[in-house]
Order: sequence, then C-alpha cells, then structure tokens
Amino acid sequence: MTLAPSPRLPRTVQKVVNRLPRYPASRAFTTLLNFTLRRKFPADVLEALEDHCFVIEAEDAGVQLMFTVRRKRFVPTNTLTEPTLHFRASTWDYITLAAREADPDTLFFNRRLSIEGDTETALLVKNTMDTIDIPRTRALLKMMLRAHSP
Amino acid sequence: MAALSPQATPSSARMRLVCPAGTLPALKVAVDEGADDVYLGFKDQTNARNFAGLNFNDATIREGIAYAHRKGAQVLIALNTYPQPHNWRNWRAAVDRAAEVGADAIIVADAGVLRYACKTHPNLRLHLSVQGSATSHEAINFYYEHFGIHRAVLPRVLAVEQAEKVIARTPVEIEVFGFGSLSIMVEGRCALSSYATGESPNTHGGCSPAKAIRWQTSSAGMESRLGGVLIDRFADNEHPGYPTLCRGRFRVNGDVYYPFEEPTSLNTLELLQPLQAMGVKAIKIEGRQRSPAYVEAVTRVWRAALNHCAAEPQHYHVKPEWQNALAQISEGHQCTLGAYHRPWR
Repeated sequence: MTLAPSPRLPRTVQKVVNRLPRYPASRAFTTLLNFTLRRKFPADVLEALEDHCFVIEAEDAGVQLMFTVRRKRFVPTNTLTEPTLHFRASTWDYITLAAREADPDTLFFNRRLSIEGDTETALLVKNTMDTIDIPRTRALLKMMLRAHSP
Repeated sequence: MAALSPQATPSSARMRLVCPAGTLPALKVAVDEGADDVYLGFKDQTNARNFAGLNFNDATIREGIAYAHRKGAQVLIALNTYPQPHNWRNWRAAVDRAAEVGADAIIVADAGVLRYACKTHPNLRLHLSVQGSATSHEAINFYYEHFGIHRAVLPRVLAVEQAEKVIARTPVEIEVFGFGSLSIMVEGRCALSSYATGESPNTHGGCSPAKAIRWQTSSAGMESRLGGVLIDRFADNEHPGYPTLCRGRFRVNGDVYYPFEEPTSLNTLELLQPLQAMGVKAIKIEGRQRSPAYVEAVTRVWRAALNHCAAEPQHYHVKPEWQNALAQISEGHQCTLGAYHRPWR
C-alpha cells in the first residue's frame, strides 16, 4: 500500500529557504544538534561517527545540511567529498520522523526516504535516534504537524 | 475496549499479545499500547537481530523490565541463535545475565543452551524459539520432557489445521506469528545469506549483515546488493524491501522474477477467532528492527483486535481501519496469510 503524499513546503517558503547559504544553515543545524541531542548520544556512538560526513537534504526546500563529528561534537562542513551517508526526504517527512509519527522503514519502503552510503552507519544512526527520548520537543513537533496536517 | 458479552472468552483462554522492542522507547510504547509480553535481545550475536545501535544493555534492560512489570507486562529475552564451540561461553553468560536482570522468560533455539538454562536456572521460564524449527508435537514434547519448556513458537510453515493438531497433542503453550515481514521461513536452518556474506543468520544474528549491504541509485534504478550480489533493482514506481537473498529478484532461465519469495508481510487478523478457539496462547508480532513508531501502530491495532476477539468471539470481524493501519507499515506490496491458508501440505 502506498502512503498518502506528504505536504510540500509552500512555494514562497521554498524560494526564501532556497536562497539561504548552505554553510550558515549547516552551522545553525549542528548548533541545534549539539544543544538538544549531543549529550543523549552514547559516547561510543559518537566515537564511531567521528570524522564521518553526513548530508541531510530536504528536497522540497532545496536545502542540504552538511556536517561531520569531531571530538564528539557535530561540526558543519563545506566539503564536497563523498559523504558516509546522504539522506533525502521532504521537510514534512523529516518532521514526522523527528516527532516519531512516522516509521523510517515505512518511508523507505515507500520511496519517501532515501539513504545512500554505508548501511552499517545508517543503522547505527537510525537505531540510536530511536533510543533517544526528547518528549517536549516531540510534543511540540506533533502539535506543529497537527496544525498543518492536510 | 469492547463490552463483555455472555459469550466472552474466559481469561485463561485469551491470547497474549507478544510485541517486539529493539530499544527502550519501543518497549515503553509497546507496554503503553497494551502488549502482554515484550521480547528483546542483548547487544550481541546471541539474538537474531544483532544490528548496530539496536538492543539493550544491562541498564536499559533493567529499566525496561521495571517499567513493564509496573504496568503488568512481562519481558522475554531472545537468545535465539546458535553458539559455536569457540564462543559457547557467550551464550552461557547471556543466560546468566537474563536470569540476573529478572527476565520473565528466555526464548531459546539451541538444545545446548536450553539444557544449560534448565540445569543452572531451574526457575527461569523457557520458551522454544521459532528458530528451534519444531513443527510437530513430537518435537515440541521432546523439548518439554527434556528441558521443561513452557511455550513454543511455531514456525511459519504450518497450515491452520496442522497448528490445531499440534496444539491438541502437547501440554506446551503455543505461540504463533500474527504480523510482520515474511521470508522463506526455513527458520533456524537457513544458511542462504552465508553464500553472499560468509555469515549465517543462525550464528551471527542477522540475515543480511549491514556491513554487507549496499544501496545504490543509477540510471537503471535503485539497486540493493548483498556482499556484492545484486539482490534487486527497483524502478521509480516500485517499493523496495529488506535486501535478503530469499526475497531477491533474479534472472532464472531468462525470466526475471522472485524465485524464492516476494517481499510480503504476514497478517493474520482474519484468523484470530479460529486461532483463539483452537487454543493458541500467544500471538507474536515481528519487527525488533523497526522503530517505536511502528511498534506503537502495530500494538495498538492488535490490542484492539485481540480485545474484540476475546470479548465477542462470535461477532469478531476485522475492521477496515485496522487493515489500513497495518498495510501502511508493512514491507512489500501485499499482506498474506502465509502458510496458514495454503491448500497443499
């Protein structure tokens, strides 16, 4: 069975986001990661992710967030080398994943989430994210999804 | 919950809902949504979902057991792979750990591990894993007589009538699979993936070890490879599944198709009433590798269905919203009844 299509970003928002320079967006994202998630990541996982390069691409927004892990911190990068993992999905689907409203395997089966690169690292990231409880952030994201649900 | 009718099933005959948990949040959500039993594994090759970042350490397992017990649920620890002579101690240590953290039961496949558990921890309840591949009452009764197993999980190869005959001829509780991804189901005896990866699921804890999997997109489509072997190639309108050899699409005598098994999911909602009537004790949901969102969705549906079936067995029917919710999270293009409905024997 195919999932209902996810809502796309409004065209005006797309245009604005599209013009944002890549590096500052990656910096803002990694600052957010370090602030909210870094302490919840087990030390051995951060060690395993050290120096790996990740790209998170929101296709509808035309945004690519590029970062790596150095000394157990998320750090933005500008490098064009091949990333260890490259994620592609819509902004809406990323939010549903972060809110735990969607199952990543389901999105993958439905071609709504694409993951290219090292599968072992992908599983490590996915399964570690599943262990992390951020109830207040999730409640906020769920409220946001309800408010904008089609 | 449906109101109890005069024909309601007595509590002793109600089927328990056994749900998967790969992480602590998945365990909690399974318990919150009404699982009776939650099964999980340690972070090593002693269980058949040995994937990076998945499973429990002693701290999370203790927290999980305490959480489940507070809410009246039980925790089963899967030690369902096969030790080798050089690493036998790991399985023995895993049995000791399971007993020490207070598991309600362990799910075991190997006769040597069963013997060790039975002799060393006589009060630890033993369930025979589906990986034990016991499909007859003679086999199940053998494990009962020698190791005192309390429950056996039936392999997904029996028709309903065959399962009924097994149940009638054994004192052991019978658990059957209700929902989840299907493979060719040579459970406990499959070495297919070792031809591509060098590792067998029964000894290393994974059908397709992640280090051997590669997803690539080219002009021909999205390809999945296992140990370099092309498993499948998906056009833009096709849905990928887990890259296992038994669900691969290959060229055979000039035709490209799934020679072993198409990627599908088992869904036995429509068989719940007969399964309950024949005395099945527990329904198992597959998917320890899936997210808490999957566990939440699938547990919610099956709790509602089991409640409905127990309260009003004569009027039990599958609600479209249950099927819709399960279809959305299933692997593959379709849900099937698997071997339960196969006319051939």
